[in-house]
Amino acid sequence: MKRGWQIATLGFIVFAGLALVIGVWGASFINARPLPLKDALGPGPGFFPMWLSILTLLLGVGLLVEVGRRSADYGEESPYPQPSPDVTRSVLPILALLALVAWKFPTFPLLERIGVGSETVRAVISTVLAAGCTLALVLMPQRYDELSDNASVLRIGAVLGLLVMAAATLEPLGFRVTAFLFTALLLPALGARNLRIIVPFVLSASLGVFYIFYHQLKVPLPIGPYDWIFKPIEAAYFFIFR
Amino acid sequence: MSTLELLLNGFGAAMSPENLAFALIGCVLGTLIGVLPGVGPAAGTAILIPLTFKLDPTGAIIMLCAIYYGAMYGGTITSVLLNVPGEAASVITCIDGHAMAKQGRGGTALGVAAIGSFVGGVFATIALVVVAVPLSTLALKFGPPEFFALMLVGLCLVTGLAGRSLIAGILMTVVGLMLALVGIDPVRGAPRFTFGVPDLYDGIGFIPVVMGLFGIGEILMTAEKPVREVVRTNLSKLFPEREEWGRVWASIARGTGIGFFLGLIPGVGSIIPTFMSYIAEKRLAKDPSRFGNGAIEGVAGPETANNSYANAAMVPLLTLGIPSSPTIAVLMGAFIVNGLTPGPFLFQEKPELVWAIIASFFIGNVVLLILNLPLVGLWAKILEVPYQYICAGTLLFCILGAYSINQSVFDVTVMIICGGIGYLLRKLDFPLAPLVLGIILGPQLEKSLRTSLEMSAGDYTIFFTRPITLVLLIIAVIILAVAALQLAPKEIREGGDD
Repeated sequence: MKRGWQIATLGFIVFAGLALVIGVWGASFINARPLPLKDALGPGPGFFPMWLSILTLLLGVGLLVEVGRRSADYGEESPYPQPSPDVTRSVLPILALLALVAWKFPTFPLLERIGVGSETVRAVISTVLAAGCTLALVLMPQRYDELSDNASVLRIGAVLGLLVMAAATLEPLGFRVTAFLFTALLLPALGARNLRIIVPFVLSASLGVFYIFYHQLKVPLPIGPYDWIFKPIEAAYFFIFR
Repeated sequence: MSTLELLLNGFGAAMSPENLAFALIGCVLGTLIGVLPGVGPAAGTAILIPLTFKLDPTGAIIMLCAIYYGAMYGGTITSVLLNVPGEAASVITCIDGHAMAKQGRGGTALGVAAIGSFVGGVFATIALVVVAVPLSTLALKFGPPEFFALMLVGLCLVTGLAGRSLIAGILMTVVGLMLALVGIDPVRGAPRFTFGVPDLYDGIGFIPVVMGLFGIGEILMTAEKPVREVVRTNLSKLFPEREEWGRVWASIARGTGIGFFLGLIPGVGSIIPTFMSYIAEKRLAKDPSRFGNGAIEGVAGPETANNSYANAAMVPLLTLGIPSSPTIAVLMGAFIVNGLTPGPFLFQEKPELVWAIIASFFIGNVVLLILNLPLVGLWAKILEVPYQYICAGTLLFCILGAYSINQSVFDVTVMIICGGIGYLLRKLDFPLAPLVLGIILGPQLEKSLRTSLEMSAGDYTIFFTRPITLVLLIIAVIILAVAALQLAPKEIREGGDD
């Protein structure tokens, strides 16, 4: 716990330091421009950021000292599972990172110049990623029993990884596909096994929620390239469930 | 027009069939949010903002306010039946509420909580009606220096009351203020910390931040340890025994007062009134040893204080434009999404709307009472839904909610990142409320500071020569000093134990 506090506080110090050096003083190595601290009318745009950054730095140092002094309630022994070098667990964060990179990938100017950057490419990459996540997660739950101590780490990894996947696929694949994949992968990953509940839940989460929010409440949700698949499914779904 | 006439007009608007329906839907959804473990009122209200996009501003705000106090009540149900608080304000209810459930008196605990919530809510709203106009008229006389000092008091309170380390509390506030800097400078319009990324020009939306910190962060905590046990208890008997009524009414009266006065002060979170009420009940009881073993006052007092606070916290929001808690900050965001800026001008510019909202508080409290007494059994059933489905459903609504505010995946990304950060900060026990209030008050705080200094041509004595400003600044210093004094010996003690 104590180590956790120290790392978190160092994180805040680095955050404030970067904000001060790059954001306020405009460090030359990234061609940023300094924010004026003063102008003709009074304090300029850089005034508040500078003092806040300095305050954060001072508080961060203060907190490091405070945490360093007290050993009682932040002993070295953590009540939470510690990460261990287990290959299976690293799969999800890596996939999550890949999803982020792939989602941002086509926007790199260099790739756009050689023609990679269209919506189709983004859709294909996201689909492949979603399939990869599916495979990883479908294979993974069988190992839950062996990894009972680490199950909570896996569950958290699954939630975070699938959230990143959802963010990556939301616009390229549309809300319905994303919601379908998200719930269909997350439920088994969290330990749900009853298909008689999972299937209607997943269908309602994707098609039902889309119908209510997009058609009834007029909330603009991404449709995605697969609308032609959903038209007949939506019709059948509402024929059965209405 | 007199206040009464305005209020009656408000009732006229709030009683329209569609607004009544919005209040009802809001109360049901709010209670549902309160009942679902892992979704507190702040995240729940934020997630449900997209539901109101199609509504007119009055209907939207009425529904969101109903969601808010519905969630404040719903948290009680999980406290009593699961011993897991649905939201922070119900923590103290776990002690005696859960003990009552184990003794087979769960129904009575929930019934007393519903009655207390109703009484507290209605009285706080009556008091809101009385103080709203004078306070907003006073606030109209405030200049930028006064507003700066007032917001500073609010931030100092939320910092000082936040947790076991004052430095960590201030640090979180300042980090929140720094996150608020991203985007266009509120005074001169210069882009700051945008790094050429177009999405950052609008700043970091605080609604995705709240959804991440409070919604996803909490769900990750429940995903970590999903085991929970619903207590089988008697839910058919909702009212206390005849000899208990006297004690119950006294607790409800005290809870109403405590909740209301603490709700008026910007920065006092929803936990403090419930704890204060519990302590007061325990001190005043003839036999304090009953507390912890199912004392009915231990449920009646805090639950009343909780709802009284929830309604009173609307006073600083509506009259000064200052939110008291993260949930109220979300409501403030909902006002802004609907094109309304809460504050003293709202009473002048849109009186019909403000009074309709205030009237809807009365209606909402009645709806909650009608809804909760007979439906206690149904809410208890919802607790038996396996957590996997709650988790998947809530996360999906988080994605939908974050995306639909600006139709931007950037907001979804912000939410996910804040979810991860929120989970870590929660595990390390860093306070999150100051961070959120820092983000929402940041732009206003900076604007009032810089406008004050422009008024005085850069002379800082402007903060010490105006009486209201000076008094408020002294209060801010006292709050921090008291918090430092209270925390310091404890830390030394904790350090010395080991």
